[in-house]
Amino acid sequence: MNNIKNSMHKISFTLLVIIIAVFCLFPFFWMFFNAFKPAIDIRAYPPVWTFKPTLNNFIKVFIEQPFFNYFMNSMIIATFSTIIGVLLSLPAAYSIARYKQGFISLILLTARMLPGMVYLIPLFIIYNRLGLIDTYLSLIITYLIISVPLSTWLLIPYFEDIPSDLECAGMIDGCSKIGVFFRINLPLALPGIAVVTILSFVYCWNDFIFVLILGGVKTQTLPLAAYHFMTYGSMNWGSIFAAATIITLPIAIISLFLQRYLISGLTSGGLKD
Amino acid sequence: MNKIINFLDRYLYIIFPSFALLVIIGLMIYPMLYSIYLSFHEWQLGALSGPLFVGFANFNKLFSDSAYIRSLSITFLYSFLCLIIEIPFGMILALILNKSFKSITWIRNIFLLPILVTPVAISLIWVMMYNPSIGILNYFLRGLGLPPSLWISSTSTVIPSLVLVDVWKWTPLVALILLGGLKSLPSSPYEAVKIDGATTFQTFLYITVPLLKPTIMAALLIRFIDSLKTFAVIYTMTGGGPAQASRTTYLFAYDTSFKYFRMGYGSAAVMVFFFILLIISFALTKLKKQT
Repeated sequence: MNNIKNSMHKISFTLLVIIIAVFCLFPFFWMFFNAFKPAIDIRAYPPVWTFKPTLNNFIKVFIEQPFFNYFMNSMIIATFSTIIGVLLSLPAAYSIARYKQGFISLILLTARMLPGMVYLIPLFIIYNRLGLIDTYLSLIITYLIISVPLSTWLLIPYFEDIPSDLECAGMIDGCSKIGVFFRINLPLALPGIAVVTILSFVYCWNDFIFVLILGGVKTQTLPLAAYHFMTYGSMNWGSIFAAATIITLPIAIISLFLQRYLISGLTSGGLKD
Repeated sequence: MNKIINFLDRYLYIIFPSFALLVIIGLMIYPMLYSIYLSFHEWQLGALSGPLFVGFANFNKLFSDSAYIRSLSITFLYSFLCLIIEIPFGMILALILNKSFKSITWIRNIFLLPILVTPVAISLIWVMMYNPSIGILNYFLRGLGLPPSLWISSTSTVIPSLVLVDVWKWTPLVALILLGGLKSLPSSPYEAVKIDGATTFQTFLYITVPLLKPTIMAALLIRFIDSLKTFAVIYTMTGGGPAQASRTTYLFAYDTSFKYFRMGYGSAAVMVFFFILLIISFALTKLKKQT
């Protein structure tokens, strides 16, 4: 009797998990599914479930629009911002972890909470005056707002986990403090650095508001281009689904392969006081 | 060379954080001060004259601007609806996941997707699904024998529809945060109440919730602040419409500053919003400390 009850319990539990999973995944499935539909089938009602898959939507996106340029814009801006951001964050995170500079970490956390509009209006005015609107330089610099607080905040626990005995050993052997940082701490924090780099890249890649305000024709990134797809043009559903798939794909791949590490990064903000 | 290293070593605790701090001061704090300055000025960008000092006139105007007041109420309604759905549902999801079955790792993979995926891509997909005439969601509703909805195309359903997208995207994050909290709870109180014969629900109410309160508060605070700042999804899905029914304060400030280029008024609108946000976050943090 107990056995039956137990297995019933297990089945209903599994069913529940499957329902949740379907709810989470359905929009992605629908996007992916439709991206390969021929044009006539996309607007069919009721929805068509069987069709001959085609790459036309993707080809259209790349031929009719300079989508490759947008892709490169996104790549350039997100990559440079992330690399510079992580390089600036490493020493800060180390120092906060080692010297218990709680005040600085508080500043960083507050900075992360600050509504973007507070600094975007002045930045627009300043960049406008300097002729920096719609340049890679200004966007790469501005994206440091995303990458620096995020990376620093996430790197702190990795440095805290490195036992200070190792540092003492290094010092006794005649290494300077800065040498200890480069020779002992950096190599040991490498897994953390990798996770933080990826997360920071994802956040820069995802941004919309910065590029909407400070970008322009030359620096249009994927999200902005995809948005323009929807507003201009004739609501070409096939292209929109294809565009959404292209933006989503890198993120989906990243999250599938690195999920275990990313979860700790994503939730650490909530678990730390 | 040795001198440089000695110097670096002595002031390491100042030099090391200074790069990151410079970024924050230069790109966030200085512009914020500039924004405060602007909020006391009347300035149309592109006009020949510079900013004109007007004292509190912008703020006075804001409080009698019905569009602004409406945007505030829309924003807080949106945020409130998100929170009262996401926190309980996140809790339920976390409790389910905490039962260690094998399914847990793959469901966590799935949870990451909505959290990490580009907001604009999410808007594109949901706009397509929400389409009243040929969208898939109305197809499902009809299939279930329910009346189709206008979703984001009607003033009465636009906010719930946007909340649904937010819930879909962020409940997994709440669940993951709470799951992390659940995993770190001590097991001894559970063993104790088990001996006392407590039911599952009693255990949850009297043991899990009080012990988990700091984590719940943290999730609440994060989601509260982030939901108030939601821009990309709302702007791309509705642009504040229909009939400005989803025009949140963020969209109001964006329109004022970057469509009409009224920099002073736009800054003032953001500052008031920021001030309200600060007060509530401060209160929540206080509440969190008490527990």
